[in-house]
Amino acid sequence: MRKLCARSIVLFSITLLASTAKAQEAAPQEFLTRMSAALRSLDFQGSFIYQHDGRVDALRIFHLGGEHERERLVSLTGERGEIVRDNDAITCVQPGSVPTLFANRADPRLLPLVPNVHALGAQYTVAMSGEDRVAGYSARVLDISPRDAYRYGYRVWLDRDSHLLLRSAVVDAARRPLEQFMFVALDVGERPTDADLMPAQSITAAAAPADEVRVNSKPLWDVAQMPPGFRLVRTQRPPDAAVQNEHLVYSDGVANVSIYVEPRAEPASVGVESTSVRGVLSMYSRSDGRVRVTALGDVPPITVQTMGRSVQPNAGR
Amino acid sequence: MTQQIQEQLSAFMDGELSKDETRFLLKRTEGDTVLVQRWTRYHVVRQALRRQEIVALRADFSRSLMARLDAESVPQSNRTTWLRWGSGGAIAAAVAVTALMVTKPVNETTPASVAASNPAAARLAPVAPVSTTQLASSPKTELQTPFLTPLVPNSPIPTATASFGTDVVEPATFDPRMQPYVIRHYQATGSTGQPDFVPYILLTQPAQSLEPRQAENR
Repeated sequence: MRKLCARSIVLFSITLLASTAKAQEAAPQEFLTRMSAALRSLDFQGSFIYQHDGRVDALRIFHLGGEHERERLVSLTGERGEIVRDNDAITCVQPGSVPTLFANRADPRLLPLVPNVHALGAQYTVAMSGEDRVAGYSARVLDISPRDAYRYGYRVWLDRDSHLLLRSAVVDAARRPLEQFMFVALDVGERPTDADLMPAQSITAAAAPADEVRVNSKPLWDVAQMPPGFRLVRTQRPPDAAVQNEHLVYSDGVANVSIYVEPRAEPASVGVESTSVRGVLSMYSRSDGRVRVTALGDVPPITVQTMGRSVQPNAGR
Repeated sequence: MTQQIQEQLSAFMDGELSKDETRFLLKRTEGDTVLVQRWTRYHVVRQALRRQEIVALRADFSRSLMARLDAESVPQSNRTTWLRWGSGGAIAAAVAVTALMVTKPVNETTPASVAASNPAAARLAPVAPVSTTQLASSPKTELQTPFLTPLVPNSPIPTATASFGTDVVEPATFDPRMQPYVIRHYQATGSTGQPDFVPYILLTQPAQSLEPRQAENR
């Protein structure tokens, strides 16, 4: 009887452990949260390749994690350029130009193609996709898949131990990568020196672009055919633009679309409509003679077309 | 400011304004601060599109140009179209040369906001170029620093790097009028919690047209 009880306890424990392990693997969203934390808190430095729009760039990154993050990104191919980040301020240094300072940026990050995992809504599913090896690290592979054709998906490779993002790809509905980056050499936990985080040449002056003016009133324009999941998150206007000009920003939490509406001072007789793509960025523009509408975002062309074509005066105004 | 004046200003920046009309326009700047401000913005936008260092117009630039016009001796009636264009280009170039003598900018609008709010100003391209080395060697003042660095490439950039030469892609043409929208988009979405890195990469990227339904006639 005692033996039977002991066997039952062992079997129960094994079952419990197995179910716990299964539950852990069944929560891929948790891995994405850990990835986000790792990107902020860990020290690392490495080189990666970035494939986008028919070209491949090689870059080196230094990251100092913690409360006060610092980063530096250096291009290794083409013209030498670098981006230096000091917490929420980013300075972009391009050859032959005055450095540009982007101050007070919310949640800035210099690694490309990092999905905003905190805002994954009902329009996306997250699933484990397998295992791989990247830059010598064993990696979990996760798929962030859209539920419809109005947005792109992500495939991410995370280090099994540190959960750091090792590779990321933006994929279309057919799972074809549109853009991707991948570390080829990486030292996790390697603290960068001050020299690693400083620009190659000292910056004595930098220029800062003016931000647009936030509009708090109800927008003058509206999108009649909104793809599922997208909602208006802000309305802006250039500081020196006419009141009728609006910049509407829509988001599903991960993908963002900007709609620019600019009434024409002089009506034009010829209507124009065009769509173009640049990597993951789709751009749509139309002018019906009275107003010019431009829609763009990191979404499939159908999304900017649908939204751009249905822009109309806001009925509630 | 009337539509006619705006069109004249645009034509002048394109080097397509006749001498008489140019005189009229310059005369008009003496008492029209709005026109001067717009002129300055167009000038800055053009420099930004050409990736030139941003320098401001002198406050008395119109008088300098008027003097240059007076010094010209070629009769208008004997000119061919391309000569007229060339003359206009020379006038526009004179604006750029005059701008090397940096003084206080007319307003405090940055090129980014200017470019973003005036996408049509991207049409202000065909003027005689000023070499960047010449600009770089110009004396700098503290008044240059508030301006934004030029962000828009002057010409399409090849889309393949030498290190991965097997994937050569034909350079595509990117409509520079779209660039200010792209910049504004990433400035806005960056502040909604999205990664900020992408814009810097995209600044050097050309676009491929999918379905231009109708040639733009503007």
